[in-house]
Amino acid sequence: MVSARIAGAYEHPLRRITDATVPEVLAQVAYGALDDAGLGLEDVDGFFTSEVPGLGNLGMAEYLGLDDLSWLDTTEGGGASYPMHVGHAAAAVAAGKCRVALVAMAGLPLSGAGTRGRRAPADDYEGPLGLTIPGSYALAARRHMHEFGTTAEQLAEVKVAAAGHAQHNPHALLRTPVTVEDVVASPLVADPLHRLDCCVTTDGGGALVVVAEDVARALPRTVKVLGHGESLKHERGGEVDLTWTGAARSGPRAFADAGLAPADVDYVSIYDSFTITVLMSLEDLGFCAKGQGGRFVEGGTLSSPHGALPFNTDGGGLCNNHPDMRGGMIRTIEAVRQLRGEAAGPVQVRDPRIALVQGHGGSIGTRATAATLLLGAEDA
Amino acid sequence: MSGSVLERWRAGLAVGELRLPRCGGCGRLVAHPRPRCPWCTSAEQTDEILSGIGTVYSFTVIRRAQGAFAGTEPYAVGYVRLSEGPMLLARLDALDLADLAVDVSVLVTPDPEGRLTFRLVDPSSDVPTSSPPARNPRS
Repeated sequence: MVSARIAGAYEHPLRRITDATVPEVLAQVAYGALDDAGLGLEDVDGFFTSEVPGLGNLGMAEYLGLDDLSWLDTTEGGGASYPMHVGHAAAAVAAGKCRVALVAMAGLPLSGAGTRGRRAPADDYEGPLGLTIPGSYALAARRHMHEFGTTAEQLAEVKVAAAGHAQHNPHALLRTPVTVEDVVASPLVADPLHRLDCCVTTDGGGALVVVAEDVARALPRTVKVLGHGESLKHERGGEVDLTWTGAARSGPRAFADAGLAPADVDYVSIYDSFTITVLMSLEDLGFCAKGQGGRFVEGGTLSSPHGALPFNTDGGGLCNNHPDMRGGMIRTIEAVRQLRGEAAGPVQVRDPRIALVQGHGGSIGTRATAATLLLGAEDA
Repeated sequence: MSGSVLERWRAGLAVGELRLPRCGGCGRLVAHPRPRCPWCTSAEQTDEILSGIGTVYSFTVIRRAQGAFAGTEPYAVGYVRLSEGPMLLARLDALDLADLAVDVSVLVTPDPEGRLTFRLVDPSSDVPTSSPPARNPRS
């Protein structure tokens, strides 16, 4: 805690606010605290909020103009959230994860405008358009096809690999192998994405226990957290670029954190909300050059155990499980299984030492968070 | 007062006028509108009516919609790069949605619901221009 200090503070002067929205008030106090500290928006690399409008604090970061953040914290502890955030911010600063942490909160209970819910500030403008989640990912897919010549058949390769793995998972929702032809012949949901380019929707959940090194010493089957990186990507005030995802920011941070490179990775769990999510993540993480994702996944690259880069051996979100429409937990669990040698026999990678987990939250077609983990086996 | 900003935005779009604030601090358009510029944090802004001319950056045809949009498919949504620079998400109208493509030219068109809606430029009746187009060139 002694390694961090509070440099700025600001309390909104009003006690009843009738002419501003929650995002506006939150922006006012955020700028107020930065002014007080003598710092600018461009100095901020860590953003801490409790529940605010938009997914986590992604929508508010976009609204404020916070761009390449390296630490996002939306710990919800009710009224205790903010001292918690200060503690978390101090820990993040001490760990070198961020240098200037902005902790902000706002609410308008007297006017009945709560802070809860996922509506981002931009939803005032975009909500009425009727863009679905598959549709927003389809925007990224269309642009990728336009810029790099990626084909529907190449996207389908991702689903084919996942389905091949899912047949060995007795708990998977979809266990039937599929072909490239099956995928491209399935109905279009949002051009150019077909039904079989989309993940499943499931109930359920998952959990992980993270322990200190000394606790781990007494436990039999632990997996090392070797590196972490996170960030976000949004519409940047109209400077939209759909050719990359937030993995291009979170991935290099995680590799640097772990002192590893893509060539060191034996297994990947990649967020597969849609096939395009996987293809672009692989490029952004450096497993192939930008634009080459389509070619990279051809010919069974992602299939375990013989492909060059086995992925999502449980069947992933495309076939196994995507509970609450949030796949990051289950992707992480399968990486742990692989490193423990506990994946399904036919898809267990031989003696994997390093696994990568890539998560995305929101939509890569509009605004999304991104997090990368590098995990190591006992001997890594 | 984002309510009034939003109301002005919607009222403009209902008659085919696309407005964005221009920042008095750095001169950039603020897209979408918000009280402070996300680039320089200046609160000084003036509303500007834009040309309504743009090109399609990417688009999708929604064939399975949810909630209030269920049953209204198919319809197209995409990013339009405005001739003034920023890119905005919008509805895309065309007599035949199969005519939509990346890079095609589009014009803002009135939307009774106040949604940002562009339609495909019709080369036979839309005269290429850099000034704001006539509101309804066909009438």
